[in-house]
Amino acid sequence: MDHEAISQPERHLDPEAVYALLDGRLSEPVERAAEAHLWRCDRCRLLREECSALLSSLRWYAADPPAPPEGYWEEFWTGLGLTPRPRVRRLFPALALAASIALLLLIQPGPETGPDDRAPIAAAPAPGPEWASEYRLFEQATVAIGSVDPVSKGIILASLAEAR
Amino acid sequence: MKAAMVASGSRAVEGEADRTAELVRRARDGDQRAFRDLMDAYRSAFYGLARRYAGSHADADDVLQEAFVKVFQNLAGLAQPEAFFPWARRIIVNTALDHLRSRQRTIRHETPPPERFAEDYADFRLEAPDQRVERREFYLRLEGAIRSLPPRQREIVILHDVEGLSTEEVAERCGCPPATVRSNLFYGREKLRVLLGGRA
Repeated sequence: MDHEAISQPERHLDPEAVYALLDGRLSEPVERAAEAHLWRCDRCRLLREECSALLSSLRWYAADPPAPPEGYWEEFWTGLGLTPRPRVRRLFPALALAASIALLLLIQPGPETGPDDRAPIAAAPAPGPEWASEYRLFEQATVAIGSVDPVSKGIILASLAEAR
Repeated sequence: MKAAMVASGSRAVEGEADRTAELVRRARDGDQRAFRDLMDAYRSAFYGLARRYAGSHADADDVLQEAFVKVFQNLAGLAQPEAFFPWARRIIVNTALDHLRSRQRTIRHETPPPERFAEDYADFRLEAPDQRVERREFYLRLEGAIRSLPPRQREIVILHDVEGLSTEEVAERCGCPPATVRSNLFYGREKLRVLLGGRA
């Protein structure tokens, strides 16, 4: 850095030039001129001391941080909720898609039904052999959808609502 | 004798690395006790790091809460368990920087304006820390002054002058040209110098 402020030794150094000097960014002749000025000028020497003290304070700031308050870590670990990221999110995105398609197929509107078909759920017959495999698939799809992340789940449920 | 001591030290380092790697493997399998032991082994370093970037205990706590969860959830992506510390350190730094940027408005309201800061510390002289007796007090003053910088200046001053990164490394980390780093560094340093009792 060839700083104008120190190309003329009789002028005072500005802070930018002093930081450049401390960072070692001045060219050799400019650095020599700056040092010559500093030797003669109390005011600029004080400025260099302040800048230098600031830089050493910042280095010290890194090296000597305060400890946290007493008992902090016990409290920290108590409040920290750790839940492992569900593996299904990474490993089985295709399964989630398949589940949503399966659900779509299962919830297709059937033929018009009469009032007698609206029996209470408790009175519903146990799955008979003719649709037991479809029921198992429905259960698997429900479990798969329950384990995907909230965004994908939202998309699947929205598409189901639309289909209905 | 000296060779024996070096060999013994080297074995201790290897033992520590093995223990870290073992804890990483167990934590990866969901063992929360192993995860806690792993993080506890480095907790002073992690707290110091978060505190430097966040600028207060409360903010450091927020950063650590978020960063520890990220570390736990991303352990599966750590290819070399032996490289755990630099990897986790990076996560903490990035979390702290995100925290700093996201709290930009709040920080402005929380920190005193520079004029008031200067009034509060009117009797304060900027001297190198090794000449100080009241180090703890000076640390808090310095921390308060750093916290009062605008986020970009604060980030650049911390990366360059506290963490010791070069101008080019800071530019790469912040995604800005080196000239922007130099300019922010200069204004940040000058604000700190004046806030800490330097001549305006």
